[in-house]
Amino acid sequence: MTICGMKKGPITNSFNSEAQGNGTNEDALPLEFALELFDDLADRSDIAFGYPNDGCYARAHKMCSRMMSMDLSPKKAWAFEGKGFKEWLHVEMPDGKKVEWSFHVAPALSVQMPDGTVQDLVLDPGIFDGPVTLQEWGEVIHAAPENLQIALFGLAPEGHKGTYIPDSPMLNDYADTRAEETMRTYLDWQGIAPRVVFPTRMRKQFCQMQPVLFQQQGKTWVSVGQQKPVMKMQPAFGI
Amino acid sequence: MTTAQSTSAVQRIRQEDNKFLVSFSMHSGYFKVPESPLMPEMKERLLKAQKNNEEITFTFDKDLNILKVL
Repeated sequence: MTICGMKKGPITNSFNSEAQGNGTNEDALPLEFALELFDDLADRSDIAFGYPNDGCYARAHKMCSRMMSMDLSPKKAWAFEGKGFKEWLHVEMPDGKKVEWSFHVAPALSVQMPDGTVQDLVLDPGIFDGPVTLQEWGEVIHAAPENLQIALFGLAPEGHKGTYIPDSPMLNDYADTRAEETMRTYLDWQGIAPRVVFPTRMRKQFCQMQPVLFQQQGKTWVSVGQQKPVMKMQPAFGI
Repeated sequence: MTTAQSTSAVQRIRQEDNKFLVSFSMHSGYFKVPESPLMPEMKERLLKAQKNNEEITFTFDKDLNILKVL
C-alpha cells in the first residue's frame, strides 16, 4: 500500500535493536510515512474530526479500520479520567471551545524516529496537526500519566472489557455499524469551517524540510497561527 | 435543531457550580442537564439509573445537552 508514492513495509535498514523507545521494531513505520498517513486520515470526509464533544471511539475505530485495510498494525492510545475531583479529561480547543471527557481514544502506530528509536505515536487529527508522543497527547488532554495506555487494535485496554468503548464489549462488525451511525450524526453537527488544531513538532520539522509535500494546513484543518487574517471591510468612500 | 438518541448506562455524575454533568458508558463526552422545568425529574431519573446500574434512553443535542429522558 502506498500513500503519496511511499511504500509501507517493515524497517529493514540499520535499525539499532538497543535503541531506546517504547514500541516494537517489526512494524515500525518511517516518520515521514506516519505523517503522510496522518494527512490522509485528517481530511477524510467520513470522519467528524470537527466535532470534539464526543465520538472519539468512532473516529478511532474508523481510522484503525482504514489502517488495517492498508496492511498496517494499528494500536489505540487510551486516556481515562481520574477518580478524584477535577480529574476528568479536558481540552481547551484552539478555537476557545472547552470539551470534557470521561475517556479519550485515538489510533497509535509504532514509528521509527530519526534518531533510530521506535516510538508509539498517537494520531489524533481532531486535536493536533501531526503525530505526537503519548506523553504530549496526555498533557494536552490533562490525563495523568498513570491513566494513559496503549493497546493493540482489537484488544481491550488493561482493566477494561471493550475494544471500541472501554466498558462495553461488542463484536467488531457491530462496532463498524455503530461507528458509521455515530459519524453520520456527528458529521451533521460539525461546522463547515476548517477546524483549528494544535501544532506539533513533527509537522513543523517536515514543513521546513519538505515544504512542497507538507504544509500546516489541509483541506479541512489548519494549525494554530496559520489561519488567514479576517479582512475587515472598509467603506469605499469616507462617510 | 437536530437531536440524537442513545441508550446507555450512567457512569459518573458531577454536580458543580449549579451544573449537573453526566458521563455514560457508550460515550466519551460529558453531557449536561440544562436548566428547565424538566431538570428535577431528569436529575432524579439519572441518579436512580446510576444507583441501580440501569441503562437509560435519552435524547441530546449537539452541545450534549440532555433534552429528554425517555
